[in-house]
Amino acid sequence: MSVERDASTGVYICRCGGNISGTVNCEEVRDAVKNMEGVDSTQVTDFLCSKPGLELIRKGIQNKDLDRVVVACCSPHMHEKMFQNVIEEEGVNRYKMVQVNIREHCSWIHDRDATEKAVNLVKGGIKRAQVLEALESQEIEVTKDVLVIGGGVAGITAGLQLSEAGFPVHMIERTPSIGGRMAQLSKTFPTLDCSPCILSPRMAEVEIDKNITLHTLAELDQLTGGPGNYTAKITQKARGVDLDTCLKCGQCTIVCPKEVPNEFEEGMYNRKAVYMPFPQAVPSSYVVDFENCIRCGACVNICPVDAINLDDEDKETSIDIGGVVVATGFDMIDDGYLRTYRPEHPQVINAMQVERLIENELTEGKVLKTDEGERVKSIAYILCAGSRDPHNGVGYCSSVCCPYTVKQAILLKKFLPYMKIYIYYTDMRMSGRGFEDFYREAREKGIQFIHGKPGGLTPIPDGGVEIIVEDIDTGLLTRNEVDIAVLSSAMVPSEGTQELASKLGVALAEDLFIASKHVKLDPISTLKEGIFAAGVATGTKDIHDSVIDSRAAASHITNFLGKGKLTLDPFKPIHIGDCDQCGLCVDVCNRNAVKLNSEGPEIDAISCNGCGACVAICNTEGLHLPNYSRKVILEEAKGILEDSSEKIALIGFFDDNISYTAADNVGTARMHYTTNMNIIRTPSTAILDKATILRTLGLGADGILISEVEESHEAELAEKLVEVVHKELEEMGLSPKRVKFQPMVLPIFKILPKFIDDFNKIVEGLGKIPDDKRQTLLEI
Amino acid sequence: MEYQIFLGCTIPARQVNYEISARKVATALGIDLVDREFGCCGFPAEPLDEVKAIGMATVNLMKAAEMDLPVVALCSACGEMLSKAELVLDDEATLKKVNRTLKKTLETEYNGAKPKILHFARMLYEQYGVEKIKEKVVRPLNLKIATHPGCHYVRPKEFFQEFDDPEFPVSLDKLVEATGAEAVEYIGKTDCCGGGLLAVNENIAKAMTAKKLNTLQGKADAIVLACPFCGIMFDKYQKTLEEELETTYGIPVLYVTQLLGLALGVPPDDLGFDVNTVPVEELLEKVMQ
Repeated sequence: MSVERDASTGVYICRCGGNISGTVNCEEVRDAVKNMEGVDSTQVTDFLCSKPGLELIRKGIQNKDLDRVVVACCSPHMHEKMFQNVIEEEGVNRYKMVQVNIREHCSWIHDRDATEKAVNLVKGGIKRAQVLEALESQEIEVTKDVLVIGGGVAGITAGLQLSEAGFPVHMIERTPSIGGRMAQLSKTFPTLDCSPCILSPRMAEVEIDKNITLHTLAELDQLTGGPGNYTAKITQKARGVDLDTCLKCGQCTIVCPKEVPNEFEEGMYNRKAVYMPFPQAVPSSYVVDFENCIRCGACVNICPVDAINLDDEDKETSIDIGGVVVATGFDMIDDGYLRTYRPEHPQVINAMQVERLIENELTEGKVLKTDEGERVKSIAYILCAGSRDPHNGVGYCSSVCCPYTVKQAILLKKFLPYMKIYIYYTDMRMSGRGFEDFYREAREKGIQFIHGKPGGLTPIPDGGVEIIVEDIDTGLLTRNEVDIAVLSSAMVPSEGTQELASKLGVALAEDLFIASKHVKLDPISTLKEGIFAAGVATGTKDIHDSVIDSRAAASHITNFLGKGKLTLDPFKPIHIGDCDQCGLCVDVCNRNAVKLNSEGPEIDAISCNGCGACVAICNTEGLHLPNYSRKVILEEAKGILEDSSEKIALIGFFDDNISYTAADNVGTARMHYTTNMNIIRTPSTAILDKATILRTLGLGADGILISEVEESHEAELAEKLVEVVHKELEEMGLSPKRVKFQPMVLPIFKILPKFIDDFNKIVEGLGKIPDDKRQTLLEI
Repeated sequence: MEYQIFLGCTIPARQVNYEISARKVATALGIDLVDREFGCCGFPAEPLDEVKAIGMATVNLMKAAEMDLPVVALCSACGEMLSKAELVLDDEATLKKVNRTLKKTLETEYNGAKPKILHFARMLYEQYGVEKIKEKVVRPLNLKIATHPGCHYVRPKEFFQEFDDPEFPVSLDKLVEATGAEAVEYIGKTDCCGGGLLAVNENIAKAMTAKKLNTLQGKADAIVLACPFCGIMFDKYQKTLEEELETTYGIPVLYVTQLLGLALGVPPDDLGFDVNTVPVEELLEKVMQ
């Protein structure tokens, strides 16, 4: 197709201070594209995103009367919005811009031939830019209500701050009371503040705050709608006790005959089947544990106000919200990973259990005793139990174990001065404010730190635990016998984080905590707009950092919803052509965003996520996704593949959210894959149809890898499409192995290079597609 | 069932009771063992030159793959070395180095052979099956047995995918229980016999052997194991340790095949007990009652 009259294009190539120019010869890239049709300005600069860099773009637009801008630099996930704002200020439509990723997808992953690949990618970007339409952003009204998931210190802090700022808050908490992990702690480090004393007032504030609706025993079932206008379906489990009528007299607990281990006490003590979760619980009321209740009715009979109903049922509610704060916290790692430490043995406990022992025994003036009734005179902590050990636990540092272990040791020493305390450590990581003083204090108090991590523990039959370890500092093998061993176990994402993330549509990172949009520059945002995460949900951290996170999350929500309006990118399908009323578009949409009326389909911009499935499926090609149409995608492919006649060329169609981010992560991790893979960003791969795939092969690609979020609606569609394409290829006498679908989730991004290289090997084995076949492919 | 048997070096030279009993057990269970001319597995050379050691294992793998039969190794170290070679040859860089050595010394290259490698005990446990062994037991053993799995039998787990738990192995215990004997639990079961250190520091090696013997004194009728080096440490060194430490252990040390042989009705005279150093007469009397 010919270049339009208004297609004066400026191309700006960034050296990124060596990040790009280290492997890509940027001047060579400039020379290779400067004579392309419609290109009126080409510039190479050091930091395109800096003020002088942006000035260069502004001047280009002013002097050359540019109508389209191509920036070749980092991932569009980094600075696309900023570049869009700049060109908009200079009078160019913000959507007539392309950011070509020659850093994460090129210079960082290739040592050789990076320049050649960069040229191809930039050519693709230019071709794409020249067929982009001018679009208008859409403004929508938003709901100001906010959903806070999790009622620990992070959720409580975010909820209270949001309420204060005037946002109605719905807080859902899975257990019968808010408070979370912090409520279980004895004291906090390094100041030894009493944990319940500083948290309880905040919990009470939540209970009386008229702007906060608290849903305990509740979990999210489903989240629908889009940023600013979500609908959350939640299920609230039966409580069995009416919150309003309960007098908190506790008669029910006294008569209940059934005893079970108390979760709040980490199984160290028992509770009844109808119980108060803990004294400061909010809501301050009793709850029936229906899993363990034997339905004897004793509690119902004794309750003076008839507050107990054993036939209470689960309740489903639907709430309209504008944004979400995820504050789901952590669990301790499963004992299954710690088998060599023999956690099943009564002499081996974990640090969370010690918190409860300190709270229940020591602060009550009692001493610790073994099961045999002997005084506990020696105790050893094993740090990094399950942490920093990818083979028997998790690879990361849980970051709070060093300080909380020091805290517990200091407390034990304070209450029981006769106790011998040993701490076995890998590295002492005491980097927070005041932590080093705390560490020094512990050493001065005679707590022994031994530099070595035991691989296992040996419980001694007559009581006690044997610890054998190589002391790294002395090089000697040491043997020790203590009464109790404490595992400072790893923290892992709280149970169900994965399911919740998939309901929310947010991604998880390699460590299985929720992924941040950008680890450094945008740590609180998730990869989904309007959903923010705080506290340990995004990785291990202490109370101090969790509170900072939560306040940041609340302020993000304030920015996001505070104006009452939201500007949306206009990448939503529009009906432009014929309609045969077949209804395929309605059926293919899993968000109920398409309605069919006599004129044709109508798309609800709020529910629609712009995946493009309805566009791809339309019989009459009557739907159009602006700037992601087949024409635009093929133009980009054409540019990339222009010089592909010699070598095997691969195209990757990657969904913008997960797969493209995974490829960015591969770049950030400086991993390598074959240079001939060129990734084209699509809003989702659902926009692809048979003709797009086959014609891309016709244009010069020898293999196509389609990557999409695993187990998603879009992935299903992509798999179906690949099947159809395979049949077509077979009929043409071409190997179906040339087109492959690859499901992707972020935690496993590191295997992406292998997928790409394996695919390349297959396609190399098949060789290039003969020219006559290409011609046929183009005509489909 | 038919297998190629890999004897290694130590067993025919120093622990022939293991080989004799293994052959008898195979016959009793109806398992055919094919003898081949294998060389050293490479294990002893590993600390000196890892590439050459893998090269030695590779030659054996190619030899084994000439027949379409799985390989059973009696020695844990042989089993581990051969399994390790199969795994590390997948790595291109390692393969290149090994091929360079093979080319230079034997004018050959690795041909990708991947015969199935199993320890003899693993074969009995996984392929023959504990239940089937139980059916063939004619002389149930009323004994308390302490198994010693040793190091190379199940570890490192990367080499023994889908086999026994490397930290809490049970396969030897299950084989022992098939004979009617009781497998006793004891502290330090997965500890090393000390054999690995014998050439480096004899005193530490002996201290490790003594530690286990001390634990087991009076707790078990016999130690049962599946590796010739462990056998040397517990059986051959027991007397030395008794003299040096001025104590009496008197714990008979049996290969798992010797124990199974007894239960399967093989006459004790055919199980190589005359090679055992620690006297077994009392134990055999108890068994034959």
